[in-house]
Amino acid sequence: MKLLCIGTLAMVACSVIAAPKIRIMPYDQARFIEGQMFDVRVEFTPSAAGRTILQPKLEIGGKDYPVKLDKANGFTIRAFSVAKAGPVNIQASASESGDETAASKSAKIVIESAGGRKRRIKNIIICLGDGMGIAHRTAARVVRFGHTNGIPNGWLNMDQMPGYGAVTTSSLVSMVTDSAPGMTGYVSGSHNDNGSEGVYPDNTPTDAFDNPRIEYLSQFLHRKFGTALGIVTTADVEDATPASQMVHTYDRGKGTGIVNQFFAERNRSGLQVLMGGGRRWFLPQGEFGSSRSSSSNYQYPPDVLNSGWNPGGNTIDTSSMAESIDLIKKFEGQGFKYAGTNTELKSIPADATKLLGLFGFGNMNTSLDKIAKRRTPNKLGVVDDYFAPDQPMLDEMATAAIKVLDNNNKANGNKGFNLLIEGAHIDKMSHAMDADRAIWETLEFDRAVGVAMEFAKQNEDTLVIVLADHECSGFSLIGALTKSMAEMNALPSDKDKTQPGIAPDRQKAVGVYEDAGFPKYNILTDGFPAASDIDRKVVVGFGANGDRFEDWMTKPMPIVDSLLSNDIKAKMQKGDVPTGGKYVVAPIDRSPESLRGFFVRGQVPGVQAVHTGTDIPVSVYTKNRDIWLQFVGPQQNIDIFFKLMRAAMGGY
Amino acid sequence: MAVLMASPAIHAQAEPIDLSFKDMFRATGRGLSPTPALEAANGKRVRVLGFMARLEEAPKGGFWLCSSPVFQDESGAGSGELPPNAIYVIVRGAGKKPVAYLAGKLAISGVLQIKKEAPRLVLTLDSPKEIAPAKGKGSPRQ
Repeated sequence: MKLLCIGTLAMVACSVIAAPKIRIMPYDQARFIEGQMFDVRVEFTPSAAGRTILQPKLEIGGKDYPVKLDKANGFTIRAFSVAKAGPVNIQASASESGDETAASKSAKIVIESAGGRKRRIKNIIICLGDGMGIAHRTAARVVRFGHTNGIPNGWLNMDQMPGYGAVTTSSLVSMVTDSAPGMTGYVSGSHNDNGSEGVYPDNTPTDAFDNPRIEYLSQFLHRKFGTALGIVTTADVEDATPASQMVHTYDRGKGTGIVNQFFAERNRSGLQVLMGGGRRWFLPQGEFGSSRSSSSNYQYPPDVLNSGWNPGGNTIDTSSMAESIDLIKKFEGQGFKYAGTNTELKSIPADATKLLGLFGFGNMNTSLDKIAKRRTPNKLGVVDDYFAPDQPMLDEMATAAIKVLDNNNKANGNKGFNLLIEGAHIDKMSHAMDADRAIWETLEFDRAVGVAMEFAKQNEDTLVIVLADHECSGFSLIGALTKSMAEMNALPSDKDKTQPGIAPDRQKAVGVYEDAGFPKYNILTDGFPAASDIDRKVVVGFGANGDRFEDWMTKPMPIVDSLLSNDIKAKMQKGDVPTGGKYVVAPIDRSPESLRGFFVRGQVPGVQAVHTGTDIPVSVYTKNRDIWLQFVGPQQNIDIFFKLMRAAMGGY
Repeated sequence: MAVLMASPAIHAQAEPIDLSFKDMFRATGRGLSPTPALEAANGKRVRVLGFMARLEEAPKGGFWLCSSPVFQDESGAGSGELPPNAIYVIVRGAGKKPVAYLAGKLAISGVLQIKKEAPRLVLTLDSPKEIAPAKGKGSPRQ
């Protein structure tokens, strides 16, 4: 009897193993709102080579759908949607040659209602501080305002929003996300794989543009209400956060294709404003500064063009996909005013309703470097190295974007707009463990938040939400220096003090608890500190750091390698380099920390700090109390989408 | 392959032309225009001072040389943080493996090629036997 049981079990196990594996997208428990489009993809993997999939079947909500397998043993139903709220079961099954056992799998998705009769929010402004955790915000506030008797002398704009909560940041595959699914979760309601934007994973990895799509907030609201879309970032516009407003790709690195999609699907998303860096993707291939290439481009999948993603068969404009296209001219041909500098941005006609601004070839520069150029315009600086000496600040870009989008409102009967304002370098400088630049970036970002809030105060049907896609670096406000800059500069080198029993002088210079006191920065009229390296300056630690040397000072240019030949060293010491900076000799890494700072062993491999899985703060401002109250407390990142949709559709 | 073929034609001991990042391009409206100095260096052995870009996803078989220090987080389309005049340096000895990061200012010598597709500026690093005997203390990095 016992033997028989084992034999039976073995047969059952054998038949289970022989059945094909099935993957269904959307994933189990995925959520959508009524009418939101998404693709359904089912993939079968035979249990062994040589076996073929037989009798594939699909049933959605109790209804059979005819299916035909593609070359990857899957099929995709494009632009699916469900009109009524409630659970919907997606069930797929198939057998395979050599075994009649059918495998079956189901995914239960949930359709939610968002519509209602309450007053709609028409303008949604998402202010996204990339990588901005709560400590970035605190550090920026401390630097900007300081304290008196423990009382903050002022609050950041984002501190003054009433709807304050905490948000999870996980992606479909990890508790630690990158910027792509970090953003798409907020504006699609679905988790995505790391590195992907507005799509689910599939089994055709060589084609990053054929994945099952999810309709974005911007696309849904444009389709339903004619809402316009604006995208403003200090990053390359190809970067993950800006692209995750309307681009569908599994590979965030496919720059040519991503920017082509901005143009091709502008009428499906209502794109009216696009500003940031990334001119390299718009210049025709072959021109200096261009990065357009076939390796990062794509052709539209025919089934996308023949589906509801392309209403009327002509909403997606595929006329400008070639690498040889001058995409700036193409945008101008569609009525976009173009600005390549801050001076040009200020000259945009007051009645413009479309705007393309590309202020750098790749990412724009950091606020610290932009401000340095503004304060000393005749001195060569980092922005000159990037051939972009005249770049706008983020708040100036936000002002221009809102003006153009408001022009749209006035021209089209107040259909509203969705606007992303991204402070991208909070993340990038945190990766680099460059505390001062990260704090300056947060200050720049907050000035843009102030611009958005001011518009919301004047325009009742506006909601401003401050988010981060994730936290970066384990940024932590750990104290302040107990010494002056003169004293810090006079300290002996700590670089050889690596034994646990020997405390580096720069470690001993960190004041914690009451010794931290209240750092006080001199803020100039441009809104930024006169200097980052002040006596008793703020000290930031990194809990997700890579290896580094630390001296707590603002990071300057690196210095000459001591092993260079004498003629080269002589050139560099004379300042015969693009920045004109004079360098001194040092052996390794970012200097002068590596000469005088103490070695901090990172907890993570690689050379940079990394994203963390900690929750991020959310702040919401709108005059409508019933709406901002919904964002108070802990919530999932994808919940943000549903709350925004309910606000936009009057169903809150 | 064409790049690799070009190197043997260069006289191994010829003193390289010093090429400075600041002398390579002029901004012209929307794009960049190569200077006569850059065009004259096309196909020749040059020496450039710069910094190896530090990329989270480092390219295989080469690296990017920039005029100033660069960090690149995540993928960022591979070169998002790079200045537009960044030079892609091919390290033949690295094969298809990433090149280990070297910090600090570097002096790079090799044959420069201006190409029609990105990356537009490609420098094929001298192989050890092609490097002229260094003055002073030796090669830039040991």
